[in-house]
Amino acid sequence: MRAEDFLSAIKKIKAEALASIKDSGSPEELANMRHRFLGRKSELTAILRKLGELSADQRPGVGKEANVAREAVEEAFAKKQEGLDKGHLEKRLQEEAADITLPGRRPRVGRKHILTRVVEEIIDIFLGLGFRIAEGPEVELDYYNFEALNIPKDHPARSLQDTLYVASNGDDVLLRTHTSPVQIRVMEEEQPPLHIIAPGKVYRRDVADPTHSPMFHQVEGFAVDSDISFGDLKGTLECFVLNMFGEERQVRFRPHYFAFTEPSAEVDVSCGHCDARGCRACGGKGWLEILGAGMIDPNVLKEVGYDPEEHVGFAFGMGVERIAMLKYGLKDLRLFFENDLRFLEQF
Amino acid sequence: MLLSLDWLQEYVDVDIGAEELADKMSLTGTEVESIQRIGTPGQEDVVLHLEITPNRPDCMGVIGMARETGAFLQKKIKKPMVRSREINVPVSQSVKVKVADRELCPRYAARVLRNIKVSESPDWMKKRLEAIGVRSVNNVVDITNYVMLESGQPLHAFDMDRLVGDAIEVRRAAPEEKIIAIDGIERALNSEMLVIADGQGPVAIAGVMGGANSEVSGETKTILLESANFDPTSVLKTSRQLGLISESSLRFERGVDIGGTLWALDRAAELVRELASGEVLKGHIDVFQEPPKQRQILLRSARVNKILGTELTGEEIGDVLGRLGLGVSLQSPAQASNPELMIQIPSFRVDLEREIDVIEEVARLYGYDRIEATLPASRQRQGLLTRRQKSEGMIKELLIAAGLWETINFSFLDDSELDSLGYAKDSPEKRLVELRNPITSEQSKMRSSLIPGLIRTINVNVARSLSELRIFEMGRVFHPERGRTLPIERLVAAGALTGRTERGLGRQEESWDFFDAKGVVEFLLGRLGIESASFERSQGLPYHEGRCARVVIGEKILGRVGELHPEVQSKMELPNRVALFELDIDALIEALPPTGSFAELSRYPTVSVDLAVVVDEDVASGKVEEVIRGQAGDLLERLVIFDLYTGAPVPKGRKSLAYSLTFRAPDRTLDWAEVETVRDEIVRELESKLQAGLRI
Repeated sequence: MRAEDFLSAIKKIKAEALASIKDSGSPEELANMRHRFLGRKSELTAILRKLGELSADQRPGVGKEANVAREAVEEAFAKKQEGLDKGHLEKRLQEEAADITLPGRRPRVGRKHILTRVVEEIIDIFLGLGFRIAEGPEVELDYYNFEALNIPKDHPARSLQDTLYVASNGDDVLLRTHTSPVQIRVMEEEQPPLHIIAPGKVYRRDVADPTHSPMFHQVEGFAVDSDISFGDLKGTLECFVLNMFGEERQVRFRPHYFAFTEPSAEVDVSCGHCDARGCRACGGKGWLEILGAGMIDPNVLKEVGYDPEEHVGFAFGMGVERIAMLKYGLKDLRLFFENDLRFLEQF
Repeated sequence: MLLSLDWLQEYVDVDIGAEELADKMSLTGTEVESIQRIGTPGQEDVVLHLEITPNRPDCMGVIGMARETGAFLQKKIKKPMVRSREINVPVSQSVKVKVADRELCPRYAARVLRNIKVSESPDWMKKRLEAIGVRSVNNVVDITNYVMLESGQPLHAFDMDRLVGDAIEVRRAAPEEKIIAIDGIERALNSEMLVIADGQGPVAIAGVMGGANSEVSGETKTILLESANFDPTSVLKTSRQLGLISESSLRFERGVDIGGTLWALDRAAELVRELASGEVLKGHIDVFQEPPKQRQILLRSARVNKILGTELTGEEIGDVLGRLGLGVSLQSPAQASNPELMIQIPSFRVDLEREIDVIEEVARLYGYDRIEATLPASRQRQGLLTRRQKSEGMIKELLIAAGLWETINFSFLDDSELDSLGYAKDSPEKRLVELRNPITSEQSKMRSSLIPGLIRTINVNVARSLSELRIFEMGRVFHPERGRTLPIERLVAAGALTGRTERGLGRQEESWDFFDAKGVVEFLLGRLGIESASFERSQGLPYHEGRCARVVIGEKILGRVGELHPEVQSKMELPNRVALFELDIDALIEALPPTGSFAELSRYPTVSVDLAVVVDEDVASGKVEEVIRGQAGDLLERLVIFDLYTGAPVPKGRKSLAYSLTFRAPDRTLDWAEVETVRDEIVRELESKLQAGLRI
């Protein structure tokens, strides 16, 4: 073949290829064309192989032309490919457009009971304050529940009607009426310094109604060291209350009486609706009672073999349900133990 | 206790509004529960509803509250002066009093008044009584009530002419003695109870209530006015045993001021003289051997400041206590920085016995709000959970991740629930911790299993059209143990899955059954890293005998998984099958592996093959898996059963099981031939061990 023939063949192939590329409608067709025009068995490749037939002075010119044509075709392919890809993607995007108002497929995950979450929240705050967790039995000896806590038999604070006793054991075994026995059990076993909280179930001989329950939850806390003061009790509980209910709340301590602490206090948090001014939510009082607390009575310390001159301590107790009710505006204690799914779902 | 502001004003000048007064009372230890405005224009009064703590019997009278009010308002109180205008007839001629039990009656004082005219009380007295909810009866009875409400000292008036004989005795009741109290109800007494008796028998239950036989009436001419001091514990017991609580018993059970006996008696006698024109016989009867010594308590300022976290001076402390009517004298040199003080306790403060009691008074009056809030010294302590506490929390989290909702049920149950569930007589669940004084039979035992509570929860929800439930509870169960005073408390996690998921777009309905409960347990064990646990067929109600397994590690039982027996299900009116599991938390935690070490990840690709085998129907899939794993060795990365089929073309009595096996080597790319070889070996092993055939 002559150089002119080569050149015209190249021109023809190029034109043909560009036209075919232009007409290709799908990525598959384009791939076929690519094979046909640029593959190992394509005309252009064949021509390049035959360049050897040309004379040395003709070869560069034709070779260059062939390469230019090849590059042009490559470029056209790339362009077309891009266009096709884009079109294809657009089509796919269009086809796959979903009604995004349809519901998502939700994972089936469970939920913690609201009381567990409140207890955990309380625990977290006290862990942060350096307290540890201790536990004790729910069926308890009279000694730990009353006697050792400075509540002897015939003490007015110990009304028989409030306590559930276990049968066939006389008066000695009962369902603990508070989590305070854990205080005694820990102090019997360990030496100060102690910084402990004890969450758990407690029981009272009460018929279930919106404000009473035969079973409920308390968190007890106490600290014993050589230099614990009422000021430390205040600081610890203020820290707790503000963490639990919000920094904007106020805390107040009112003198009260408990057999196992002295001085004793009840702790109130300001009503979240009226900022202690008094409104319907707080029954006009402005304050909501949430904790009982005080300095551990020397008799209690003596009972476990501590020397009250050497060690002092504070203790406090709170009702978990009460805190949950205040926090979430619940009015009926029974809901916690009914386990209606619609209730559990809300928290 | 109700307190009339108008009445209070008689003893102390209250120059602040009712709300502010109530706030101050609350912040010094007398909680004001409500404030009520009563009366007519020009005659308004405010009634405060007070919560008097059990240690403060002295506040159970208007004068006591006046003292408190005076202390925080820094005002002097005006206690009425009592003058006794007596006639010249000695009381000792008219009646003799014998106190047989000095322990239960440390003091018995009385006066006799004659020629009295019982009639209505004057309006001012009626108004005061009615303001705080006390019904007016007649002037004599009203006076005893009035003086009690004023001073805190209960009083009683006997109609002397109705007493038999001329002597009364304070003694324990004789066995089988009875009394009709002024409420008209006859009560049997016992020898633990103290009574006032005349020549015939009891005329009053000491400190609790008078008898109808000697009650003051319109005809009464002569009265014996009693002002006594009874033992608090004795009055408490008697009142509880008789189910009879009175204003009098409420005061005596907390402790009445033994130094105030005569003041109240004279005050009442004077009022009877004035308002019922009585003549007061000369002198008191006062059976009272030793006058109590005035209590003194040493108070160390250093101790006050240590306990409270304050820096109060001896002077500040003395000032606070002085306001409460306590005597204070300095024991240390005047300049001492933390002086010691000797505190004289007046008789009405029966609660102040120890230094700490006085420290509380300092704190209370100084003001809790003025004590600076601090935090305990750190001592390098850390707030950490124990491994066990963390594990418990993790188990809960995993059950929630497995799709279960946590419930909390009462720790009680009733035998009938266990009967309905069909537990065998000798099952551990039937051995129960019983309550002596339960409120209802449904709450008469401590639970021995969490299952009854879960079933209760299902029933509650089903009744409210919520029939698909995936729930669990983690809580204690109780078992009595011979030789132990306290029962064994075991922490258990139990779950229940029942019902059908709701239909949803692009989602199949699922009915929960045995394999869902088992799956939860497998998931939990897997995540906890407990690999050695296996499932063994198990039986026994309340479980379905064909769908129940024990979860075991060797000999140790971790728990059970199973469906509720269909008969139990229908007996308990449950609409759907219930898949349950119970796991012992202690056993789980004991089985927890030590922290595992990292296994290198292979960088080479996997090769997967499917294997469908036909075995006899009674060959357990677990057995087939065991053979496959045993033969495949370490190259087998994953084994999943994806089909279980019976019916043509699989011969009768046989079943087809299809598994997908994924192989991977740690150090090379597996070639197909190698995997084929392993597969062929597995097939041969299945053929020889389980008479399995290959299904193509």
